[in-house]
Parts: sequence; C-alpha cells; structure tokens
Amino acid sequence: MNQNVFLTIQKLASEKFSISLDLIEPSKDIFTTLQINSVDVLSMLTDLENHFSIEIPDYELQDVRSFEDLTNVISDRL
Amino acid sequence: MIISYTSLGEAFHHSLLAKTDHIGLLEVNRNQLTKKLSYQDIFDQAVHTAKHLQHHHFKDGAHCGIIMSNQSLWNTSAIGVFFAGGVLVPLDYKLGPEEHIRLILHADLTMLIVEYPIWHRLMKSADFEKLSNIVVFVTEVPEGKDIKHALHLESAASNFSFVMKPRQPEDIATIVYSSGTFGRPKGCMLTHANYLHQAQALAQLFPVGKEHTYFSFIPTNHAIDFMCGFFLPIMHGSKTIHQRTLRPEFIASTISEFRVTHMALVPMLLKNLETKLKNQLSSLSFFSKLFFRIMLFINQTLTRSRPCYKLSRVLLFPIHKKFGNHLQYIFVGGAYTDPVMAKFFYDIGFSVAVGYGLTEAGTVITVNDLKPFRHDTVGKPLSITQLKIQNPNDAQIGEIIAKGPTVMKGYYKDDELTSQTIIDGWLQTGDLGYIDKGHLIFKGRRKNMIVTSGGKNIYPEDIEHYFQSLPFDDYCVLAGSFIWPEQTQHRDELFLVYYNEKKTIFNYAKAIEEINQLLPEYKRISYALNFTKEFPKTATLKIKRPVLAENIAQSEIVEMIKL
Repeated sequence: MNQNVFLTIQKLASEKFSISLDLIEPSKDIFTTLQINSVDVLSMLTDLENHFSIEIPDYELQDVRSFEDLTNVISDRL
Repeated sequence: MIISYTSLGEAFHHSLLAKTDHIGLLEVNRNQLTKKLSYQDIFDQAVHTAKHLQHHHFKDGAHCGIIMSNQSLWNTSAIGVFFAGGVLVPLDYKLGPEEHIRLILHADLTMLIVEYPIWHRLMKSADFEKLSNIVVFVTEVPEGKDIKHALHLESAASNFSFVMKPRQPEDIATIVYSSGTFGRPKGCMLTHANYLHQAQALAQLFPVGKEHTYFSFIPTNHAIDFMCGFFLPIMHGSKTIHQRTLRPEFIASTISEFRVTHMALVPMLLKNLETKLKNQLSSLSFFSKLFFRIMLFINQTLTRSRPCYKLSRVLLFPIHKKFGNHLQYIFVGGAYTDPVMAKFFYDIGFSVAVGYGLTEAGTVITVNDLKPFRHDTVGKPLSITQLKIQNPNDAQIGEIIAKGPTVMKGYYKDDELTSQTIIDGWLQTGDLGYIDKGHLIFKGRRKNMIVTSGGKNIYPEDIEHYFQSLPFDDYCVLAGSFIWPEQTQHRDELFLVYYNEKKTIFNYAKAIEEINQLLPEYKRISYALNFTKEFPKTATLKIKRPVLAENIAQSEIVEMIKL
C-alpha cells in the first residue's frame, strides 16, 4: 500500500468529517468509520482527485470499502 | 394519443421519425458535454442495436437484459430491443455480480447488453461460466481489454438486415425485478398496454413539450425514470440529459447549465438538497433573511391553490438561480417522503409531485396533481385507476388495493405468488393507508420489506442469512421505521434483534461488524439489539415482527449496542 497516499486520505478525511486521525486505519471501513454515506464519499473523492490531479470514474468506487481499498484505487492512477 | 399505439416499439418508432431534428438526448461527463443526439440519431442507434440482436438470431418475444448506469446508450439499446420485438429486462446496475447472474438466469435471458465496468466484474465472478450460452454485447470497451465471449455493441452493423417486429398491447414489454434477490425473485411482467395507459394518464397531468429538459438521475431501470426520463420525453418531443458522474457538484452545475425543467428524485436525495439549502439560508445576514421570509410568504400566499413557477422564480430568484432558473417539477417517489420536506420545496416554488406506486402497477397508482398541493398525501388515483381500502379498521386504515390497466400481468414464473397478489383483478399492495377527500394517506408497508429513504427495497432474509452462523437462539432484522414509525430518528437504520436464551458468552457486536463488511452500505446493520425475552411467534413458529417491534418500542429492558 502506498503510505503517502494513505496519509493524505487520512488527513483529508479527518479534516472533512471531523474524525480523529487515529481512528482512520487502512483496514477500517470508510462508511462506518467516518459515519458517512456514498454521496459524501464521492465528495471526498473529488477533493482527492484535485489534490493528486487525477480523475477516477465513479464505478471504480464500487468495490471500495476500506481506506486501503481507496488508497489502492488512487495509487493505480498515479 | 399514446394509447392508440399497439406497443412501445411502435410508439418510439413513430415519435422519433416524426421529429428527427429535435434534440433528444444529452450526455455530460463532469463539466463536458460528450454526446448530443437528435431524434434521428436515437433512431439510428436503436436500429443499430436491433440489427445486432437480429443478426444473432434474437427471436420475437425473447428476453434481453440491460445493465448500465444512466447514459444515452441505455435508452438507445432499450429502444433497439423493442424494435427487435423483444422483452426488455432492465437490471439495477448497482447490484453485485452474483445477484446479477442470478437474475440473468432467472429471467431466461438469451441476450444481454452491458457496460464494460459491470461486465469486467461479472467476468471475475465464480459463477461467470453460467453466462456462456448468453449472447452478450458490451459497450465502451477500453482498447485492448479482453471481454471473453462477448461482442462489442459498437462494431459495424451496416450490412446487417433489420425488420421492425410488431408487438401487441397485451404482449409482455418488460420484466422488472424489485430489489432483494435472495429468497424469491419477483419479476413483474409489464405489458405494452400497461406502459401506454400509464404514459397517457401522466401526460394529461403533467404535459411536457419540446421546451422541456428532464434530468435523468435515478437509474432508468427504476419505474419513475423509465417513464419520466425515457418514454414520455420522446413521446412529446422533449429531451433527456444524463450526467455520467453522481458527484453532487457536477449534478448541480448540470441542472443549471442545461436549464433542466423536470427531474425525479428519491426522498434521500431530496433530503440532502433540503439540508444544503437550509444551511445556506441560515447563514444569510439578518436583512437578507428578513427579505427572504417576506418573499417566501408572498410566494406561499400566491401559490396556495396551484403552483406558478414563473412567479416563484422571480420572488425567490437567488434560490432558483442555483437550479438554473428553469426547474419546474420534482417528481418524488420510490419510498416514504417526509411531508414537511415536500412542503419546504413547494413553499420555495418547486412543484414537488409526490406519488405512490409499486413496480407491480407500473409507475404510479396515485400522484399529487398540485391542484392544490397537499404535502400530507401521496396524491389522488390516476383517472384510469380504481383504489380501495380493504378491511379498514376504526381509523379507516386498511390495505390499499388497486385495479386498472396499469396493473401487471403477473410475476414471471411464479403463478402462485401472482394469484396471491392479484385477486379478481385487484392488486393487493400489502401497504396500509386511508382516503381523505380523494387523496391517499399512506401509513406504511405492511410486509417485512424495508424501504430506505434512498428508495432501496431491502428484504430482511437477504440480510438475515448472513448471520446464520452466530450463536443466537433467535434473531431477525428490523428497520428503525418499523419499530418506531412515528419517529424520524433511526428511520433508515437496521437493527439486528437477537435473543440469547442460553446466555452464550460471545462478542456479538464485533461479529456483526465483521459481517457488515460483506454487505452493501444500505444493507448494513447499525445496531445490535439484545431482546431479553422469547420472540413472539405464530402457530407455525414464524416470528410476529409487528408484535416484536411493538414490544421493543415499549420495553425498557432492551440492550442496544451501536455498531
């Protein structure tokens, strides 16, 4: 797993959804950890795309559950 | 008159060729317009699909599935199936691959049209080999990607022949599955006549024309979008726009830039919108808020008997500007709609037409005609639909039953369930309500099925079987709205209620959380609820869920753990 990408996701998610950094771990489920729904995840994805200057189609999120899954989807596009 | 046609294929054929220069479909990806199709283009693409189907020996009345996110190819492919004389089986693109395969096989598909990302997931499924006998057309395949035995829909078909296949009004047009696939698949067989009558009735209530643009946001396999975003626009010369991403910021810009006049939403999305608007309104300065309240009062007064969007967009210009200043109608359905929320949108000048319906009856059984707007009801029956309340109690609340030309033919391959659901032509909805001055007041779903505010139907057995291995003595899944129907808190949350008679020492919360990882978001358990008495049951040992829910709501000894 790309550690730099994960740390970026961790920081952004923590700030966006007011969750403590130490609660965001690679294996944790995004929805339950951040207490958000799929619309909020898409909004976070846009922020991440802008940060990394990439574009990720919505359908690539379909199998994403954990922060590690999201890290891998983004890393694949870098 | 729409009902003068004999089939959807004939209706599309005639309407597309009558207005070839009209723009029918727009497709946007983020901020870029990527497709602009005239009615002639739509016709040509539909014929292209029909040619492919017929070239591969697609028979009259054969079943062809479509699995795609909202896009112009969905619409043109579906019309192609109708041109080729087929039965369309539109599947929800958000289901998992195993559920897709199960429905594909149940529906006896001979052909399937599917977009590449979904086909890619199907190819990775352990059940993929079960699709080997189905002719599959995949769309927008990235260069160099292996699609196994499937074919490219976009490949040339100009040398193929095409014969328009006539269908009759009582022939099956579609087989539409309701959500929830484990247990009994419920494939509603809807005829061409069902759709034509439904379309005719809705067109009389909500006329549309060339100047209107519908934003297709709900999946087109859903009854509301199929009618409002796919069939009706083409019948009336208007256009439909698709946005290929569901990111909120791009949705908003699309509505504004392309002057959307109509859209359909499920209650959850409307709720998101309401929250954003209210947050923006609360951050206004004192004088801005005062001005807004004055304009709101004037708008409420002047639109009390019926909507007047031209007036509303002037009085409440800052809000309407955010929606492109052209939005007139928001159709809402698919799940329970908060009346207060519906009233909020009506008061700020958007005509929110709340309706009630089942897939088994086409799109709607009742809909608000806004003459005047009643936020507390789900509207009046369509002119072609009879509505009754069966076995009413003292409060006149009973089961809603409906009869008319939009009621389905039956469930595919399930005569037993059909005979239980349609009795002497009356559709037994399984829902509760009562009639007030001609309007239906909806009280709730009587069956176990859970409907989220996002319009998702959830069957408890879909979820319960995942927890079979846990050491409960008894358990079931209930929705918050089922336990506390009068409250909005916990409404969409799922509770795994269990009984542990043997007092087995076990970390249920942790085990349930782990199993949650296997479930899609909308099916996940939010609370583990330890019910400390035996579950109430029938003589045949079925759990009496309403009684259990009542016990939970009234009990003070229940232990509840948030997951």
